[in-house]
Amino acid sequence: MMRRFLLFLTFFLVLCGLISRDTVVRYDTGYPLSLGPDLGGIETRQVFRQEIAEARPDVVLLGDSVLRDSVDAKAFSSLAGIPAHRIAQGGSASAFWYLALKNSIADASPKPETLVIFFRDTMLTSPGLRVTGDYFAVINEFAGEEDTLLVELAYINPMSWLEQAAGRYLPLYGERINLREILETRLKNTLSGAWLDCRGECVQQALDETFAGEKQDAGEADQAIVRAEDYLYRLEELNFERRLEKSFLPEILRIAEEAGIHLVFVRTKTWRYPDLEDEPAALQRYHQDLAAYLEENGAVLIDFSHDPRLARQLYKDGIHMNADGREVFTRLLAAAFLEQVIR
Amino acid sequence: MPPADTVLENPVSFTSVTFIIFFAGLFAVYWLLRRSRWQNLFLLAASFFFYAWVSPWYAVLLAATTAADFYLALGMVRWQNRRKTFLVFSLIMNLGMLGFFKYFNFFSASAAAVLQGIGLAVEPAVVSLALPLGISFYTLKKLSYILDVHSGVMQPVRSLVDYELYVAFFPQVISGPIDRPRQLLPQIQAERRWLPGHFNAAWPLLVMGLFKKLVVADTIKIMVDKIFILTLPGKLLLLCGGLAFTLQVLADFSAYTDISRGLAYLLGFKTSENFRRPYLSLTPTDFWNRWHITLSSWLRDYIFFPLRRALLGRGFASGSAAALILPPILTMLASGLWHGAGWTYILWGLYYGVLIVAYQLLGMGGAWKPKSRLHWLLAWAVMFTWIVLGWILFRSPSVAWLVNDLIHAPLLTSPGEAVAVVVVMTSVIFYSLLMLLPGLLELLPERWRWLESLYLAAALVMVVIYINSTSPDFIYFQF
Repeated sequence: MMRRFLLFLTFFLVLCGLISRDTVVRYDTGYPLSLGPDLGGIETRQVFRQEIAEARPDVVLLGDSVLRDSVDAKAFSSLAGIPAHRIAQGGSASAFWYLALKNSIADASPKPETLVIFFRDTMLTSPGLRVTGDYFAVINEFAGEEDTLLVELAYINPMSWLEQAAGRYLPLYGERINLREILETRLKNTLSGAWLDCRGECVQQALDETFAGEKQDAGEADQAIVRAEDYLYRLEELNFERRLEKSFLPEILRIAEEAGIHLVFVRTKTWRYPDLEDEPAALQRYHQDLAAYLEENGAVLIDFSHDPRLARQLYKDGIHMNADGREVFTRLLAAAFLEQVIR
Repeated sequence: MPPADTVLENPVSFTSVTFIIFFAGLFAVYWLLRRSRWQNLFLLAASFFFYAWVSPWYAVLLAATTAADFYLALGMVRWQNRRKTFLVFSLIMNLGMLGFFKYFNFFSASAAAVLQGIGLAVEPAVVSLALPLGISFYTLKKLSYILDVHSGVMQPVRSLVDYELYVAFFPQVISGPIDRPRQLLPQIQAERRWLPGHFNAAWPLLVMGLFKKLVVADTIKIMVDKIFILTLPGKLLLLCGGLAFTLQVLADFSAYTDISRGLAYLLGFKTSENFRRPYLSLTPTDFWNRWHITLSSWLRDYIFFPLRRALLGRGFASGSAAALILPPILTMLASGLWHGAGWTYILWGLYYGVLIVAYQLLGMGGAWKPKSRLHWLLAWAVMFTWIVLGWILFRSPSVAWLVNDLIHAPLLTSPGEAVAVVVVMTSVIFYSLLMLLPGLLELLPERWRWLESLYLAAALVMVVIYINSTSPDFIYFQF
C-alpha cells in the first residue's frame, strides 16, 4: 500500500512540474512569481474625471449599487442646494473607491469640494472585498501599473504566509486562476459551440440574459445578498484597530486631505441588524472606533444604520432601496448633509 | 435573521488552512501521548475546542446534555424499575432541544398560517437563535446510545470522558457519519497504536474528499444556486438544475464523509461508510441502503422496525395495509423532517415513503433482483429519474415555487436559456465523469492499478487549481 502512495506522490510531483513549467512559459511569469495580479496592459480609464469635468459638481457621491438605488443625485442637488454628481459602481467596495479617488477624483479639474462615500458596516476596512473574479476586470480598468499599494492591500495582505509562499514558488497555485479559467472556458464553449454555434461572447451574453438580476426571485436574491455579505461580519473584520492599518481608509483620508477634498462617510442601513440592540457588541465597538477615528481625522460620519424612518417597506431587499425608499432617503440625506456638513 | 451572537462565528471547515494547522498539531501531540486514556482526554479537549471555536455557548450545551445522558444511562442500570422514566427524560431533553432549535420557528409559522387562513390575526412566535451546529447529527448519536442501553442491547460506559468523546468526536460532530455507540465506543475504550494501515486508508479518502468538495461540489453549486434563484426557470433549465444538484449533493456530502473518515483513520479509528454508489440504485429501498447509510440504518432500527413490531404486536398481519404502508411512510416523513424544517423536505420524505410502498406493492421491495441486463437498465433509469425529481423538490426554494414553475414555465423561456442548458449540462457531464472514474478504475486488472494513483494525483492537482482565494467573490468568476 505504501508503494501506491509513493506512486501517487511521484505522479503528483511530475504533473505539478509539467503544468508549472508550461504555465511559466505560457504566461512568461518569471520565477519566483510575483504575487497579486498584473495591473498593466490596459490604459487606466478616466471616465469619472471626464464626468466631473463636464458636471462640475461641488459634491461627488461615491458608492456601490446601494448608492445607485438609494440616492437621486438631481433631487439631492436641489434639496441641498449644491450641485452633486453620483458615481455608483455596482459591486464596488473600498479598493475601487480608493482607485476612483486617487486616479480620477483627486486629479479632476475642477476638483469637487466634498466627496461622500457610502458604505455598509465594515466595508471601509475590508480591502480584499470585491477585488477578484468578475470584479477584477473593473478594478483593472481603473488601476494603473503604479498602483502597487492596491496590489499589496487588496491581494497580498489578505493571503496567509502559506498562501503567499505557495503563490510565489508554486506556479500551479500562483497561476490557478488562469488555469481554471482555461478549463472552464473550454467547458462553456465546447458543446455550445458545436451544437448551437455559440462561443465566447455569445455564451456570456446568453448566461447574463438567462440569469439576469430582474429574473431572480426577490426573496431568494435577498438571502443570497445576506450570505454574500457574511464576509463583512467575520470576527477578524470586526477588529477596527487591526483592520485599519491594512485598509485603504488611511490612504483615502490622506489623498483627500492633500487634494483639499472634504470627506463625508455615510453608513447606510441594512436589514441584517436594523436595530442597535440587535447588533453584536463587536460590531458596535467597531463603529465606535471608526467614528472616533474619522472625527480625529476631520471627516464627517453620517450614520443611518439604525434610523427608524427607513422602514422595511422602503427596501426591495436586505440592502437596496426601492423607488419610494430612494425618495425618502434622498430627502433624509440632504437634510443630514445640510445639518452636519454645510453647517 | 441571524441572532446577535452568531455573526461572530468563524466556522472551521475541514478544507480551511486553519483546520489543517489545527489537525497537524493535534495529530503530533495525540500520537505522542501513547496511552488511550490520555489520548481520549486530549481528543475530547480538542473536540470541544473545535466545536467551541464555532460557538462557545453551544459547546457548553453539548457538554452538559451529553453528561446528562451519561448519568441517565447509568441510572437506568442502577434503578432498573425506573428505566422508562430515565428514558423519557432523555427523550424529552434531546428531542426537545432539537425541536426547539430546529423546528420551533417552522411549526410556529405553519400554525400561524393555518390560523390566519381561518381568519384569526395571529403573529407567529419567533425564536431568534441559531441552530447549534451538528445538533441533528449528535442528537441521533445520543439517542441511539440511550435507546440501546434502555433496551439492554449494550451496557452503559463507565467513563464520562469516553462517552463525551463518542458524541463530540470532532471529525463527526458537525455532519456525521452517525456512528453507533457499539461501533465507536469500543474503539474509544481500546488501546490504539499507530499503524501504517491507518495512513494507507486515510490518504485516498482525504484526496477524494478534497477533490469532491473543492472541485466538484463548490463548482456545481454556483450553477445550481443561479438556477434555483430564478423566479421562473424554463422546465429544461429546471431539469438541468435538478441534475446538477443531484451531482452537487452527492459530491458535497460524500466529500465531508470521506474527509471525516480519513481524519478518523489518522487518529486510529475506523468509522462507518455513508455512501455506496447510491445513484446506481434500482429501487427506493436500495437507494436508502446506499445513501447516507448511517442515517438510514438509524431510522430503520429506531423508527421503522419498532413501528412495524408495534403494529404486528397489535394484531395487524404482516401483509396488511397498515403494516405495509405506515412504517415506511412515517419513517421517511421523519427522514424528511430531519433533513430540514420546511415543507419541501417533509414532502421529499413523503415522496420516498410513497415510492417505497409503491415499489413494494409492485413486488420490487428490498430483496428484488433484476432478471436480465435490460431489466437492470430499465429499473436503474426509472429509479434515477425518481432520484433527480426528488432532488428538484428538495432543492426548490418552496413548494409554491415548484408548483408555479411546473404549471407556468415553458420548456425554454428564451433562446439564451438553451445555451445556458448546454453549458450547465456540459459541466455536469464533465464533473460526473471525473466522479465516475474511480469506480471504473476499480474494474481494471491488477497490472493497470497504477492508473488509480495517477487519477488521485490528477485529482490533487485539480484541488490546488480550484482552491479558493481568501475573499468570497473568487468562486463567482465563472458565471
